[in-house]
Amino acid sequence: MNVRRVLNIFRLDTLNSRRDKVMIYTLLAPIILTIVFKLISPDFQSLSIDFIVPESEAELAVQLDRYANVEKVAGIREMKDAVARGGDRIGVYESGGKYVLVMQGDESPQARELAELAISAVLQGDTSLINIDFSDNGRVIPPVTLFGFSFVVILSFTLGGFIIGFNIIEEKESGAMRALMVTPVSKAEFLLGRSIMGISVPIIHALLAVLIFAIGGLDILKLIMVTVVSSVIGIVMGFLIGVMSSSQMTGLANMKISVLLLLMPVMIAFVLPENRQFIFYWSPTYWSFAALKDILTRSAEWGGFLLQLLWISLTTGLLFLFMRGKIKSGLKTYQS
Amino acid sequence: MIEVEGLYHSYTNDERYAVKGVSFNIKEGEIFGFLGPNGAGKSTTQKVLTGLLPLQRGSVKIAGKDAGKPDSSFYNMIGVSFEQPNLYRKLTGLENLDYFAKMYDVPTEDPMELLRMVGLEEAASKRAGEYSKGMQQRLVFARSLINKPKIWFLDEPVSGLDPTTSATIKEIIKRKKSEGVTVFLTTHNMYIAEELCDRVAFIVAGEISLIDSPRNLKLQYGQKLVEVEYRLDGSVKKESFSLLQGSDKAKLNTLIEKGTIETMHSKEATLEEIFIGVTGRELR
Amino acid sequence: MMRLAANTLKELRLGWRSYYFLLVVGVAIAYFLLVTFLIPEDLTVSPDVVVLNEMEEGSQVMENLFGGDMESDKLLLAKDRDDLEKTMNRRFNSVGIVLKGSIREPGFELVFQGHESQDIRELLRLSILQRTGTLRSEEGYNIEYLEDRKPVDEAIPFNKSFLPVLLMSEAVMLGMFLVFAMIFGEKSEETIKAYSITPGRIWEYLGAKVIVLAILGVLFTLILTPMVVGIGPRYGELLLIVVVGSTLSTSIALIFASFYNNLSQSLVPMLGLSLVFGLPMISFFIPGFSPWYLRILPTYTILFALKGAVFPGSIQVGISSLWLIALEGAIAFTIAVLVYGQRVRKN
Repeated sequence: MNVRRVLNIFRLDTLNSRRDKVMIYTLLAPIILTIVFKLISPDFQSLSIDFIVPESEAELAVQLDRYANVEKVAGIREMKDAVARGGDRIGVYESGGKYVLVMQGDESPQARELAELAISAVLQGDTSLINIDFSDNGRVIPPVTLFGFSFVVILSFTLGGFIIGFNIIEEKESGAMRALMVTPVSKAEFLLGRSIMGISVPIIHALLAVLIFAIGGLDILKLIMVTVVSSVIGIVMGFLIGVMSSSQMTGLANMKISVLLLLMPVMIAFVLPENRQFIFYWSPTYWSFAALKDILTRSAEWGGFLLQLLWISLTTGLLFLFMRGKIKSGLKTYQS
Repeated sequence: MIEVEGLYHSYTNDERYAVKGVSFNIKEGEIFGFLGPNGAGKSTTQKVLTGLLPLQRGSVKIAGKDAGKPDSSFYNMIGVSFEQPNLYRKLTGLENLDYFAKMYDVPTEDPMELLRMVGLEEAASKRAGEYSKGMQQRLVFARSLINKPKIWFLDEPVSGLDPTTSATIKEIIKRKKSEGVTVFLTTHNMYIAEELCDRVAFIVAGEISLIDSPRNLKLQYGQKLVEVEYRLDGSVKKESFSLLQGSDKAKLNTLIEKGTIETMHSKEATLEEIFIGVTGRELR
Repeated sequence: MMRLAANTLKELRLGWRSYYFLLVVGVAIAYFLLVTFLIPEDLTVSPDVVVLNEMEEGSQVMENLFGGDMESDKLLLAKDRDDLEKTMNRRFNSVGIVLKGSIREPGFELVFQGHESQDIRELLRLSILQRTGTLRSEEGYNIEYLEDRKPVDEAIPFNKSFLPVLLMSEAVMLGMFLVFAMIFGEKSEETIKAYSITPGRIWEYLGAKVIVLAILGVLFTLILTPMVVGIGPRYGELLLIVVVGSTLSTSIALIFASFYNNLSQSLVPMLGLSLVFGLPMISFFIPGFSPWYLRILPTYTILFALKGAVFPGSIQVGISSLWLIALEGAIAFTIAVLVYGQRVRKN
């Protein structure tokens, strides 16, 4: 293994990416996504129902404010307009000695139930003979941050993989790769040189995400370990796409399939109850997500964590083995 | 048929011109060659004439139509054969021609007939991506004839082709000329220019150095020599004799009468030699 | 018209030979399997509840409080405090309830993760009060629905409710990905240059791509929808929404694609565009989250129109809302034609 040749390939990749502005996009995009998640997170945290109340109902507004967001509007007509705009927004006004809840009709059943609870509490005066205390576990990372952080890290190495894949397709189309194949560069050196960016950039993104989300007290070592191991998923996927696709059009079709395989399990596993998540045990990105989630919720113990890393490696390896035939035939066309 | 007056083009929209003040006229039915090295401005000129580049400065009229504002009737009239094959690789040869045929408002050639003409009828139902480079070149050439163009733009039409295929292409070009098609040919191959063109223009660094027929250029710039190989004392000697100098003419007559001449060639200057002599640049 | 037809035929051939049709059929079948066998019918995004009983004779209280939910996946019983905390650790979307005191003097401790807002905490408190019978639904209020529309009685199964989202991401927004590849394929083969020297118009060239991608969208819709929901949907309306939506998304993608030369250059903008236009899916699943910056996206209207067509009566977003989308699509297509006209001659 000649390190100089490996670094040369890495340098070529960096130069190409810089010239195409690809590097800028690849570096910036996950960061922008992180910032977007950070910005919308407060909206998610205050996600209950919204009451729309006319200004004349000031006292009602104060009472309802205990249970939900309250927006004051000029009058009943403005209130109905606001409700008509959709979402879980419920208007309240007084008429004939009774309160009227105004709904559009497409509110979720939970929203209706909560609205009725709140108005019942107002009517009853919310005094209670039952003692109810609040406490919390100090876990201030909301679900949207959990999801956002994991998604950004997974997207980072997936994106890196796709770029590796498309670069290979473009080199095939231009014939540039044939020139490289008649030099002393070995396949291993070529693979490693190409992979350096695919591993280093996700680490940068993971650390930046920690800063942007302002998540303190994280186990950084575990975070870097899971990012490095997971990056191999992106690299393997990228090479598969590059080698198997004969043109940019088929490359994109293969990328679509990869998105289904890599990103969909993460998005669905987030909402599925734990006892149903076994359906995604085949997916390497599912295990990346599980490991990242445990790191963020500080429930990652070394034994379980290393097992998750093992699963990531095994499932990635299985995917590679499964596609080995296609890779071989793709490489043959690549060389000819 | 083609009138170009004071043509300028800059890719950077400043004073750095790829084409500077180019002017020429081409008669109907003439094969006009644009001869020059790489980067001389040949392709730029052709792209402006075919509407692929905007007309920045100057005037270009093709059959009386302003090439600065090309419309459907303009494109119905011209055919372009590109140097680099630009085919739909996933479509077959026949499908490529069929598709382009349908783009025109004028009667078109039978695609199969065109394929037969360039020797591709056996490969008609093969995808263009599977063609060799030479086959792709031929298909691009055939495509440029699909609309029976009155004015035909050819960019290096025989580049990379074997001698047999080149001969076929040249024959087709000559036949089209005899049918009255006006041809604008860009090349850096002086043999093609010599063989096919009625007139050639030498272009270097965006400017035309001269325009004339290959014959006139050779007569004007040629050395009027005869190169002779003859036997003397058992070995073969090679010598050049001027047809203008008296002493050389006498020596040549003596050799002819002795009957010892084995080969004799008139030594006109090649277009490349003339080009180098006139422009100071090589045709590469 | 003949040129448009010829261009469309060319795109159909290229799409077929690039396996786009196969991809669409395959993805439709994959989604059908996903929706039918993997995604549950009865999921809600509400939190799991972890209960710790520290009350004397608390089992009766638990029975009264949680009744039929005792067998649910979403209700878990903890052995002790440590177990409560560990279980809540593992399930990030969970809330803990500790039963304290006695039957005569019951008390509760609501244990939150820590990120929940005060509103959420208060509402959960009310919910406990309601379950204990302390808070009763009062007679002092009525419910009024706008436009005389009552809510749909039958809840849509969670797995089937995914269908409008899948139709939007695959049928409507398919063009957002594929059109990039179509354009770059032509740029690398330089066939766009060959087209430029024919009388063929730019709108015919681009229009064919829009048509073929709409066809692929319709194909996807006609495969997946009947498999998932049968003959219930208003198919005419559904297909119209898909075609109009597809035209808009393809036209927007065409504008973006004109600025790039290959896939690796455009990958991030392409994904960014898909992400932005896909954001209304959040509002779809979380109706309370529909801020103005989501509502102004055309895909917001398209998504809810799809829902109305797939599940008639579930929502009041009808065909009339498509006029604006159609207009936006026409404007985007016009811009795309102008941009290509400029950039082809420039390059």
